[in-house]
Amino acid sequence: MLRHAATRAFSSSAARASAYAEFALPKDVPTHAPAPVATVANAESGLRVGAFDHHGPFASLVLVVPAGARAESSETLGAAQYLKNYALKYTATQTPLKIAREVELRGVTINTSVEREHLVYQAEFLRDDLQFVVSLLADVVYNTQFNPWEFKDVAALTAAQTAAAAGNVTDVALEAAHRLAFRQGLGNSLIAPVYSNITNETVKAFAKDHLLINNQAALYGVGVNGDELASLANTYFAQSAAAKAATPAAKYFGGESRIDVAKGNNVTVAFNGAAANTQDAAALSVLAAYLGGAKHVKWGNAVSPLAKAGQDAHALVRAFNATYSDAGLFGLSATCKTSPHNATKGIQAAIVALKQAAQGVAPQDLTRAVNQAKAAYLTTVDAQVAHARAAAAQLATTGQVTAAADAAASLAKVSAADVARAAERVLASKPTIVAAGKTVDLPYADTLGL
Amino acid sequence: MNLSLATYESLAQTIKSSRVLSAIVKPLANWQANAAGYRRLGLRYDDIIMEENPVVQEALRRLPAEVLAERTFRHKRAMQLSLCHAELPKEQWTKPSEDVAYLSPFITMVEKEFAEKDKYDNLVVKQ
Repeated sequence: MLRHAATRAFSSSAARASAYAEFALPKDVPTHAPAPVATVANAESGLRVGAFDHHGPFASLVLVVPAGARAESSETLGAAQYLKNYALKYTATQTPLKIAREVELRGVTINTSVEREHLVYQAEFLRDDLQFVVSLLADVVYNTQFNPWEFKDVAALTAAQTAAAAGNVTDVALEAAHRLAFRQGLGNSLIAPVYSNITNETVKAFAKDHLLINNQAALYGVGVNGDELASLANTYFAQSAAAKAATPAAKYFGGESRIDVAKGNNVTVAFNGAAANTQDAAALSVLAAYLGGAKHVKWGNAVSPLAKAGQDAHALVRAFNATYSDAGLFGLSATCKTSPHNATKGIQAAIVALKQAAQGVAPQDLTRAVNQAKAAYLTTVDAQVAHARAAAAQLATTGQVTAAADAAASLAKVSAADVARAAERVLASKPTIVAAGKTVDLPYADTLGL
Repeated sequence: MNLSLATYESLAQTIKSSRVLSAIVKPLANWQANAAGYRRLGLRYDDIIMEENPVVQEALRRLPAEVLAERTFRHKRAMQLSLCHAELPKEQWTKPSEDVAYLSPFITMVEKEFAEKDKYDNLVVKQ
């Protein structure tokens, strides 16, 4: 819609001089789309509030609270997922039916998800419904009732999600890689483990301890007015909670794990990465883009090393760079639905490619990698809800938001030497190796030459 | 006349808030409850609310497991007594203090939800 408004403004200025000049336009039609306004403020409760107003008619709002998987203790493993599934149930004043119907009447889309560091509530809505959405999120955060009979439904849903995740070999491997790499805290799975023993009381206590509105939480809107959002945050998120103790810093360990999964084969090799918003993380993003994995021309030949490896091995080979507030996980993964041998060949080729990158990266490959990393980042944040999620998470952990242009610029600054050094640095850490699927035919850590 | 439980509750509230009305009605109500005979079978008033309808079924689903188990026990015991044409010994009759409304709050809640659903199903949006 914003794009339409902008093109309309531009085409109207062109039309003034064209054959359509007889259709006189009113004088106040702007010739340029108004510049977006980015604001950051603190609500009185300490809640960090940010907005990026592009003046468009459709808005996204994201609330992040420090109740992600990282906040779980060994006694409350899985509580974050239960809490996520409790969203939009009975509150003190509203029934789930009322919430659902009101949300649908207004054309709002609302959902919740668990990340490692945060629990995320996100809403997409027409700009005029900002007050409704803020009041609804506040009601959910402060007043969810945790009724025992609703817990039955929440538990059934959570069990179904756990079962579904156990069938997805890539998810299984990635969760296991986090557990091996970080053990506690960041190592906690996003998915409740099969042995999790969560009662309604556990969820309530977890919500009381971690579903907190203070300076560890953030509310970020895209397409909303910053002043309006800050004033609404003061009204609806007035109740403040004491800050909880800082989570222990993440420490990287590494190791090997083999997990039998009925369908699919995956080998994931991960290394100690870098914390979010650092220049090391930017170098690793470029390294991941350099290694690649995806084909960017649909019927073209594979160009990037991992795309070639995948084509040769008949496997899906990719590099990933997961970044968190104080640590990161950089890795390679090879997946083949049918053959463990293909996944093995894929990961072997990927490790060779990573070792070659540590030896040096050709200038034309660096240009490709930087451009692809920038394009991938900018495409992601161009979707406004992803923009709001990334900004809210950064706001909650650091108190500031990096503009998309600045983040792209930090990618552009990465040199070939930085990429090679980043590859060398990750290879120096103890590898985290997960083989999931038909483990009897998947490679053992000591056969991968790391 | 088929009145919802919520209507009865608001009537009860009116009576309770008026000293004169409650002075007249309360002794009558106690006499009625004792005369109805369910207390002699060890039942509570909420045990004999008709349950063959969607509202009460949903309310029953919301009861904690142990409360539901006690309800089932009282039903079975009362059924057995009824078959035997017997009553419980007097000391085991349900005391007025035990005759608590463990189910009706849920029934009221579900009735409100059903009414709310009906409202939203027939909503006319004015802008």
